[in-house]
Amino acid sequence: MPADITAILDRYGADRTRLLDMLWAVQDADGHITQPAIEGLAAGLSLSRAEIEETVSFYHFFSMQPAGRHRIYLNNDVSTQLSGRYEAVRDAFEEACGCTFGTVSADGRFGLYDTACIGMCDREPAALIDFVPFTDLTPERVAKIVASLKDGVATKSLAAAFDSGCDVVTTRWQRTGPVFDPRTAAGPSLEALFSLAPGEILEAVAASGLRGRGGAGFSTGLKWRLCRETKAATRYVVCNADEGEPGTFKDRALLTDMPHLLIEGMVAAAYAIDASAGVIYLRAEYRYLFDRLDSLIADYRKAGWLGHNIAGSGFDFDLRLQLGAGSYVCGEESALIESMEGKRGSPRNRPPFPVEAGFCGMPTIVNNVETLAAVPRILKEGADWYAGFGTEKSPGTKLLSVAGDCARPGIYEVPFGITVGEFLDMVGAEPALALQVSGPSGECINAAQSRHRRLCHEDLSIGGAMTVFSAERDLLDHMSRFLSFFIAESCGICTPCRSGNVAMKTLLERLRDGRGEQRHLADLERWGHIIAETSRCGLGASAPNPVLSSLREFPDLYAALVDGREAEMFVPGFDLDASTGDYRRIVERARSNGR
Amino acid sequence: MDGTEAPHKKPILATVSLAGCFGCHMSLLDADERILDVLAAFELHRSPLTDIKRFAKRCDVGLIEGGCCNDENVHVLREFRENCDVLVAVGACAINGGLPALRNEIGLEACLTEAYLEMPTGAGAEGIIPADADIPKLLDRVYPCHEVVKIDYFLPGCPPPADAFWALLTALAAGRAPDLPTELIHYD
Ligand SMILES: Cc1cc2nc3c(=O)[nH]c(=O)nc-3n(C[C@H](O)[C@H](O)[C@H](O)COP(=O)(O)O)c2cc1C
Ligand code: SF4
Repeated sequence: MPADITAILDRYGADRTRLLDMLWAVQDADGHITQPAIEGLAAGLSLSRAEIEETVSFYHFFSMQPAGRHRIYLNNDVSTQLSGRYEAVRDAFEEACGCTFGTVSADGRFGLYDTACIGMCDREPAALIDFVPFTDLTPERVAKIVASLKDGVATKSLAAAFDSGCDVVTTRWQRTGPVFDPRTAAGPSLEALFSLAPGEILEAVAASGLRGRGGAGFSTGLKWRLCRETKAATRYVVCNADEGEPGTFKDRALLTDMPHLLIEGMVAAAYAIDASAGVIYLRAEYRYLFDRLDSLIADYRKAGWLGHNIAGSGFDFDLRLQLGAGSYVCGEESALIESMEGKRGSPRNRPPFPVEAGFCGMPTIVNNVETLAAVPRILKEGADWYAGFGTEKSPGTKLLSVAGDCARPGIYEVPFGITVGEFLDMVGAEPALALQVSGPSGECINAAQSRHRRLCHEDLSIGGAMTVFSAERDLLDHMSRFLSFFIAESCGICTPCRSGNVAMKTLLERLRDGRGEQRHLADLERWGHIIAETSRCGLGASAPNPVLSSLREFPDLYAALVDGREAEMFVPGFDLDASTGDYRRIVERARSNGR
Repeated sequence: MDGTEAPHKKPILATVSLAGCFGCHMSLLDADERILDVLAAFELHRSPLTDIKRFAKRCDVGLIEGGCCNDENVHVLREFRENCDVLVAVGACAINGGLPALRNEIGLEACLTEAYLEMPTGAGAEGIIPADADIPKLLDRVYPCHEVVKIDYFLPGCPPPADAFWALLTALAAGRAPDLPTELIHYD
């Protein structure tokens, strides 16, 4: 039955900022976003068709053509490549579904698609099927899953059967810590909150030294104060649960095992900065957590911790979930706000910063899940307690998502300041060749030479992802894949990011093919600096990092690509026989057809 | 030469047009009377301008017009590399593949089919893809020269103007690395 556009418009009050929700509703009903639906939404929202289409086309998980009744998105990120089963699983999907990746099966039943990291890095290969995660795939499991789908088994119940009966993916907690422990994390602690004055909360958060856990490490106390000090009719609290950085799945752990800490952190933030509404922006890859989180929010509302006049304090605050639709750059806070307003996720020019003019122009704080979830723990145990962990400039602890070539992948809570050596021993990664710190936008470091380096803002900043590469890996192949990731995810607004990353990829591939020269190494570096310095947002600023850091940390790997070429008569890998092969085959075929 | 100077060996120049249109050669000739200075500064060896077809001696400078679209181009280019100290890729086709490289996007098979088997102008005629030991074999795509051999310098332009040739050759004759001012190789 075609989507009922009038009902959908009604459900969201014909509010343009809810366009993503409306598009999801259409796609859920119709399988894809149809032209009549686009026209209906355009009319209902007083937008042009082009404005709807530009939004639809921005997001990976929206499609304007039939995309298969079962949509299968297989992760092609680095951790699945390292699993050793990726190719076999990919082939198994193609065989079972009867179509190749990027296409829909002839009967319209299955659509196979590649997708970037879905946050299951410790359980690869993994795929989303109808937005339900299936992890630890093998070719045999794939055959069984697809056969069951053909038999009409519902995707959700099928997933439960595969992940030991759980309706969510279980977290591998390898090491819990003082801040986050799923066994001891106590229930609601909101009574204590409202006995404090908002200023006292701001003070406690500032005194704890808490810094943003989303990557940039900005002081949380300062961010909140700046927002509170901006005069405005209202303010917003946004939780960034976009967790798009490949290799990161620590927010998934918190959203699964300790979501109450997040909600309470948001209530505390709202009370501290005097915000009226909050939004958790949840990446589409975690859609399977939506209903659980939604019902938890409803529980809090029922208990009087959300809504009007909370706990008789006279303070009003409510919270909702916003589902993303597949876009890495939407994790960038200003792009996230654009997306929350129902638009393409293009980063904004800054200033103004969100604390001055954010969601719908109002002062807004955007914080990572882990940042917000730490707040109730700080308020409960005290700022000094929290600041007692970690280092001077990086107080507290950090959740790490560990994947790749190590014996114990999973989630670890560690104090800031542990050394790379301690980390490698802890996760069972000896001997390791390289460590990708903080995902593709972070740094690739030489494991053996960096054992003394410290994981903290003073030395190696940690965002959450730690991917280990053993010596058998073709490291530069992975650096090249990282570039492909950024090429695919660039929003395309600035030329250095849009074209520069392609230029770097071309240079690197050329070198890896044996068609490169010494000067291309210098070119790579030059491009890297140009892109980093002239891009609008953090995506472009960090996209060259994997190549630039590996050039620095593994000069020999790069030198080997051009070694000896300058001296000898330089034939850049040109194979005359191979390059005339097509012609010979075409002629032979034509001749055998009598022509 | 008035005989008081030591006998000075003139540098030797070779030129060739591979998958090009001879436009670059025409542009070189467009130097007007300075072509005489070029001939005074260089001895011209293997070149379409002398019709010398085989290298008989080592050359100092080789100018390559056009990229490689067939195996003969590759052989000739390699020969130039072996026989010239300095090799310069001249013009858009030598540097990037240029116009002939438009076929790279179409694919060899589609090109040959369109040109020889299903040509719109040959309705009813029996098509045949030419293939004979005597005709060069087409490469899978058109390659810029530097993907086949090492190239020392690049002279951009489509074609490079005579002044640019002039600046390049005078620098090389004087044994300097050519360093052309932007105005000379700036085309938009
Ligand atoms: C391309 C890009 C992607 C980002 N993705 C995320 C993300 O998925 N989650 C997140 O918390 N922060 C992400 N950030 C950082 C946010 O812009 C922002 O700094 C952060 O959410 C602020 O919260 P914090 O201070 O608590 O760290 C991203 C930044 C960039 C440039
Ligand atoms: S740096 Fe890249 S992702 Fe960021 S705004 Fe520019 S084009 Fe978009």
